[in-house]
Amino acid sequence: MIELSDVKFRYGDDGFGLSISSLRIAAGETVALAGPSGCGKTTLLNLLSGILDADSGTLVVADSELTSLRNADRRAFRLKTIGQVFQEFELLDYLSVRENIQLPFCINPALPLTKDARAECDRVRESLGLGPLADRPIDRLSHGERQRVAIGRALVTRPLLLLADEPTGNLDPTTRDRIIDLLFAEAGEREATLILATHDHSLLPRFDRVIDFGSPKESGIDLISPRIAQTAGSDR
Amino acid sequence: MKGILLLARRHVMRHRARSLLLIACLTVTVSLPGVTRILVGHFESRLADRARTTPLVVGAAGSRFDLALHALYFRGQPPRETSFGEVTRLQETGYGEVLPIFARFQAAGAPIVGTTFDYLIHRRLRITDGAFMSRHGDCVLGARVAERLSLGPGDGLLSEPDNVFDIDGQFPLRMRIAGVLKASNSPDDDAVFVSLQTAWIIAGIGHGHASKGRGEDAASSGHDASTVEYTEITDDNAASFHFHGKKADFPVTAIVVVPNDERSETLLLGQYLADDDSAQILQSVEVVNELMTFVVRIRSLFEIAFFVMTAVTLALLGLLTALAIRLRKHEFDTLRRIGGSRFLIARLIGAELLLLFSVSCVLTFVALTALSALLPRLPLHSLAGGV
Repeated sequence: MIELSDVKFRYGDDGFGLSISSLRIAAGETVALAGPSGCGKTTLLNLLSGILDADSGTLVVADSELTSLRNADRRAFRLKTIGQVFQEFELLDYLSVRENIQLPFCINPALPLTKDARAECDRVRESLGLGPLADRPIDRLSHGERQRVAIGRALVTRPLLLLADEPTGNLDPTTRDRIIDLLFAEAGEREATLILATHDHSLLPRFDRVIDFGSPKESGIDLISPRIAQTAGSDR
Repeated sequence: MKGILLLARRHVMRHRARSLLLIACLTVTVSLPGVTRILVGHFESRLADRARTTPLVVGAAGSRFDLALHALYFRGQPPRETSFGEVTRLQETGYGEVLPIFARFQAAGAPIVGTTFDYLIHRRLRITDGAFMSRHGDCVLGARVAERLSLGPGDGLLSEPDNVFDIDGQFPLRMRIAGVLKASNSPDDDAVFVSLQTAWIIAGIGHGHASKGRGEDAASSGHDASTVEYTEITDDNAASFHFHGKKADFPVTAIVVVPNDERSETLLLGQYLADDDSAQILQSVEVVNELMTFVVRIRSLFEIAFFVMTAVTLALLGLLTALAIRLRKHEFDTLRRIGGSRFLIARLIGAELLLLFSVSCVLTFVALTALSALLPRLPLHSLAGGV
């Protein structure tokens, strides 16, 4: 399903980056990305979704070599294949809950908002407990409710790869468990791969595999430090 | 496209105040040239209509424009007056209907137009309340004057002397309002009509008086110590009113002539071709056309101003859009992250502008349609400062 080899990425010329010598994730596998803040979990998720372009190496997701795709093709691929829950939710505040969840169908002709798509959106919304809030504007939702909307938007396209960046970070334990159950259920139902970045160690036992960014040897993922910082460090 | 329109609509609705301001700016920019064109067009057509029904105007030599505006709109004063003898002379030619006008005075800000009954018939003015003038001192009010002053039949209206410091001059005459004219949406609505004789009495050419009895206060009523001059014409004193001098010498400020036919018109025009510096004849349509060339020039200037304003508005709109794009960077990044393209974002901005512009166009259309519908009822000659 996912295969990375010798992938290198750096923010700008001097920023920090990631070096991944080899990483394979099977279809339907559930993977947790663990590690401290700033260790590159979000960067890896963005590389997998094609939001970020690798500087070198090979990055295959669902049989598509992402680095060789044109921008338009990569966007269409992302929209159809990947559902991503962002750390900052990335919701449009002028849309309602219903419209935010339907958003992927509004922005790309590759995903038309058909009757079935609407039904799927309604189903996901209900399963996330957002039914009564369907017409409520985003800015009148609590933090946790917004998080659920962001998860709903990632699920409605029935993606083969589900990427989630701290999806339970701001939720109470009950809601957190409900959301995690839902993500696992959704992923399991369609044999989707679930990759989830989290700080919450209590969640880790539920995953098939945990990639710990704090152990480069085991994970095969190295953090490339910013060049300026390196120089400053060596000066010291 | 449906999705883009949904996003655009929602964004516009969400930022209502800003959207309304933009719509207002666009509507004003889009509609002003149209409004000007419609107003000027209608104004032109009104002027032309009035001129067509006032084919020839005879008056004292002087400014053609002053004479035409005075005869057509009772505004301004020709520098000199002509005499009633000219009216008689024109009537004797038999070339057309002769309608004298003597409009030197005002009452409550409205021109007092002394004329004959034929003038009212020619203009197809009808009484809506009361009756036409039946004796000296009677007046009929134009519809707007009656409405403005809240006066009706049986009320009185005082004329204003043209010089209040001239104690030897005219006295204010209290006129009896005999009737109110039906609105004709013309300058006649803003006038007070009296007979020529009443206008001459206001001018001090005619008067009525009674011998003063012992002990009566002469200063309160007249300048002749032996008489009391009436300042109101009543059924009792009407018979005492009389005129001094020859009628042929009495003044008129303009004479409207409606020729019988083209030949009569040509002959009438020919009569004034001679080098006569005392009188002139003019064709109203020609004078109005000359006036309109000025109006059209002013309209061209307005159009240039509108063009500049449109360019400035569009530039500001561009600037505003550029700033909005910067402010909405996070939103556009989100759209791109979930699969939207740069083209999608361009289309979204375009759709929002199109939406605003469409609403502006609809509002402009409604405003222009309403203006066109209301124009026949608007006192355009008043709006245009009396012209």
